[in-house]
Amino acid sequence: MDPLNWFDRRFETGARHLARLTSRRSFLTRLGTLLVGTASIPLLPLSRAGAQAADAGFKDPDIEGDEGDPTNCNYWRYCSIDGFMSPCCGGSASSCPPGTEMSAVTWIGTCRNPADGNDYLISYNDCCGKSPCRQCFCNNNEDDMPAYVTARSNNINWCLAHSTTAYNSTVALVLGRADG
Amino acid sequence: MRDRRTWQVGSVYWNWTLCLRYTNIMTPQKHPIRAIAILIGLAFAAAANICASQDFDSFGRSEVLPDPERDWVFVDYSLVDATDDHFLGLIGVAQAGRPAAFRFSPDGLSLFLVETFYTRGNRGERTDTVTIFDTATLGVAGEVVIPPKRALLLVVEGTLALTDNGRFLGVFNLTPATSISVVDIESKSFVGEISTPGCSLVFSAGDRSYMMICANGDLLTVTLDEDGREVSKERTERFFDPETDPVREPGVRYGDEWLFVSFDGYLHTVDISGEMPRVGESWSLLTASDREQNWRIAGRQPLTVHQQSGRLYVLARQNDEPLDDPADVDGTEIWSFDLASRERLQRLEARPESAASGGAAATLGSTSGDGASNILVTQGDDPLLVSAGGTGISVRHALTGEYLHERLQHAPSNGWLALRMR
Repeated sequence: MDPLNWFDRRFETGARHLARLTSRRSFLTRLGTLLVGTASIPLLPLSRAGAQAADAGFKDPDIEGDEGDPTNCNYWRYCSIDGFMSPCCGGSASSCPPGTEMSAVTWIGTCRNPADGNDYLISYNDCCGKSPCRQCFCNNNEDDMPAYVTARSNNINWCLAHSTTAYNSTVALVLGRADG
Repeated sequence: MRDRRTWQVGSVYWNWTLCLRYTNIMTPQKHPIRAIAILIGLAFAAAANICASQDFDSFGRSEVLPDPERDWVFVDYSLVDATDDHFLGLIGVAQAGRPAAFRFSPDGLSLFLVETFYTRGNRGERTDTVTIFDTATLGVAGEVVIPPKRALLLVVEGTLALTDNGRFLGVFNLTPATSISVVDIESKSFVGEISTPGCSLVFSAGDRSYMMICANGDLLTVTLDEDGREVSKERTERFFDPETDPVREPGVRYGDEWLFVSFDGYLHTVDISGEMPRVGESWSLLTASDREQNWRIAGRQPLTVHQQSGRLYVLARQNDEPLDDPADVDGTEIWSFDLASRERLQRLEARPESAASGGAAATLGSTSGDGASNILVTQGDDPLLVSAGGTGISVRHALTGEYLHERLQHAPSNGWLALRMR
């Protein structure tokens, strides 16, 4: 097993555990500290969830009643998005458009699925490497934080860790239950 | 501009050329002696100023800006005379898609901003530069290559700071590790990078120091030595609580203080006159009655200060719900406060009644378009209040609120506002 992947998975599990134990804002602040504090490690904990998802052909967990139109800005996963929605750009809510790369670092939101009433951690990964898609701009910003709380800010170009920072669009990956 | 060799007769400019052409048409080719005679006659007549004709334009001339005036304002990269409604010129940046923070050298001859380049347009090898522009031409005068780490944000203020001694530029980096790249503008060289874990954005905090805001609400002070290298990094007292009411990024300078507004409408002050920043008492820009009526502080560039009078201008709007990202919605009113007494002095409309609302379609960095997103006040006596909305720029006398231009005709319709420092 790749030791870095193992390390990342440990951190991801830890982060999810922490999220379940603490209030949302408290969790997010701590997570921000954690993310920045570990920034010298090449692969970041929660960020890596997105990267692994991209590598392994991420499949959303089965969520009862995950209904709605992913090309609609009111779709429940987009509660904290600020960007062009991937499903309008050739991708899906959980995959990037052809020829773009999913960002390895990202910001995290918590959205309530109206179908089951549960809160879920949503990872808003940017799709990088091509010009802006300019379709279906969606700007919901729920609990968006200023740029100094980096892991909670959607005013950052999250393609920042890529060889090209060209921003194309954004996906909304369900990482797990936030209140479980 | 008219050439010295040109004369004006009625509404027509004349010089020798037109006169000779006319002569040529009138001269039958089969009578060369007669033609020569006419030409000689005309030459004498012209010498006596009887005949005037249009002059040649000189080729290859470009304007050079005169000494700046106090009402010159940048709207993103365009320089505009706010009194005369005159477009003066454009900064020659490579990418004008997003606004950038500017800083000026103490002598006012140079302007600095940060740019990012790829060898193949938007791909290839990345190079970041502090680009130096000549303020008389707004053209490139040089560059300093810095590590390719500068933060790419929708935020303008806090990305570039110049120490108060006017020598060291600090560029905020985010990879997402946070750090500052220091550039010596005297020697035009990169000095080094200073790691600033957990703390972001960069503001000047004295002759050789910067202030940063940390994710937990602390302030970080970074102090430099005479050569711009790190001497110390020290976290100071808790500035605010990000879990209850975070401050917004676009701070403004008022003398030796930085002013920031929180999401919930409180003004926070930081005094940087001492060795370490000192946090002042915060106070509410909203009265109890304002809060009952759901007034909020909004706008992308929500604060501006007239230094001489100590008058603060802010953008405000009514919104039933608290604003998740106040930068994305315009203020519908501009309020002014006396910073000493904390009294509200003026309530002005943010957008002239005659002006249309709207503007650009919703996209990254756009705002609601129903008021003004950016405000700036000029300095000195009789300051001007410049406000930018989705559909245009308004200019008025800041102290009276009286319009000078409801909408500028020769300026971009919106953008980040910055003073041309003198």
